[in-house]
Amino acid sequence: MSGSSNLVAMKKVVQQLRLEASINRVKVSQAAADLQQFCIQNALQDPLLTGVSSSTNPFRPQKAFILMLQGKVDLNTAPHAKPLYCHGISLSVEHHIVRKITIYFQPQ
Amino acid sequence: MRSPPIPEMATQEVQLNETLAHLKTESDNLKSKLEEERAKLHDVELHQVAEKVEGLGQFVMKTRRTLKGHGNKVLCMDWCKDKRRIVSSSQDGKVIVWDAFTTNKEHAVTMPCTWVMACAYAPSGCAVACGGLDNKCSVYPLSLDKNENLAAKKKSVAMHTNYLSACSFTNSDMQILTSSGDGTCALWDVESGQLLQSFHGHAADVLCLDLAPSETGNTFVSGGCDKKANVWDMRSGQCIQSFETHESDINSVRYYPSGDAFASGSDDATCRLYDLRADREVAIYSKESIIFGVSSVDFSLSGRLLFGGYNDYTINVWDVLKGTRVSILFGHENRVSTLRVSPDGTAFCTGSWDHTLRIWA
Repeated sequence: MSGSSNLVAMKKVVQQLRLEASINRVKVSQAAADLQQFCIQNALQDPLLTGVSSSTNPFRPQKAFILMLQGKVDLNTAPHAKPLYCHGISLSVEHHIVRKITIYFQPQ
Repeated sequence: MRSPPIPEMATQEVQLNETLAHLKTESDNLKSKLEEERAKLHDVELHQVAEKVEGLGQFVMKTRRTLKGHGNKVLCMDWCKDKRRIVSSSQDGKVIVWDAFTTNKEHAVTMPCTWVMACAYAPSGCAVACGGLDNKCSVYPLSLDKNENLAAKKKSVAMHTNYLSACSFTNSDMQILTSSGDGTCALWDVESGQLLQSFHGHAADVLCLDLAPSETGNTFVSGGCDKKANVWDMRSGQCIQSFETHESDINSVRYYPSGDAFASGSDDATCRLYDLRADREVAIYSKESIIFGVSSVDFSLSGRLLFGGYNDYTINVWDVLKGTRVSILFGHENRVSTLRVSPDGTAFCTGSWDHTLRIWA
């Protein structure tokens, strides 16, 4: 009967409200002070807030570094390519930023 | 025509009605008691407490990368923990994994349905979850082999009776939390697809969810078309707190980084901050000039800034403590539908109905 299912639903609502009414609360002044405290304590570690400069934010420099491949190698082709041997890596660094990485390959 | 009720049934019906009336009175009393208790502790406004805090200067935030490749509206996106990869999903059924540094597409999956409204990156970075009009949430392991067909390894995890609106992995790749147009949220085991817990309480479609930061325990918050934001205990399935101050659908909810509060964005054109320990709304972020709904919100790492993506194509940046707007960002050519700050806080990403994603820093 719809009457008894209404009853069940109503009992659940009352139970839920009792639960919510019984929780411990703190004053807004206290809660707000804690939120503020958290902001201040973590402000220096927030890059979007402090506006980190180009040298430390990976998204700010517009140029992506270029990977140079020496010799006639197309690493994108096929499954049956001969195995390659990497015999060297060189990094060119300018003002503490890596500008270019060169990886040297030769057939095995 | 109803035949006259038998005497015993008549008495039963009277008793039922009396009990119902009694419960209704109790429910009304409890609701006023709740309001009273919350009001008692409302001794000050957040922005008053924050008066002595230094104001924020000018912000220079621009689009640093534009990710182009979706053929239709971008509906959702998520960052990988490696702070550079992003997964995004679109109305055309495509789910794409991007390298945000280089803007290269690394993987692409075509879902069997359109309107993929939810997507999430697994904590390990080895899988993505997505779903939408198919009423399901599926997990795709990401393969290093570009030639491998990702769709072949798909695993169906969640099953709802209406559209999937949001999904999120918990602390591991093993469990997924989902929300649905069927009015429920649910916790699933990824390996077996088993339903671990379901969360009932919303009176209409649930549109969004967010897990509490791991230090604060096993809770999550959800927002729905019933204008309510509910906080749930993941283990018991119980709703522990409920907030109803928005005037329209809640499209997005996000925890404050400390876990003690959460923000919400709604079709009523406002963002609001609710403190969990004070058990009430403590700030509203709105302006008379802002009349379009908020689709998504997220905090900067310290919680001082709140970013909101709006249906009027803009992003508004709010000072969480003072309640004022510090910046408005233009760039998208249609609604901003999704917005997330990167895991290390160096940038945030937005997705839009203009088919693109933008990285801002």
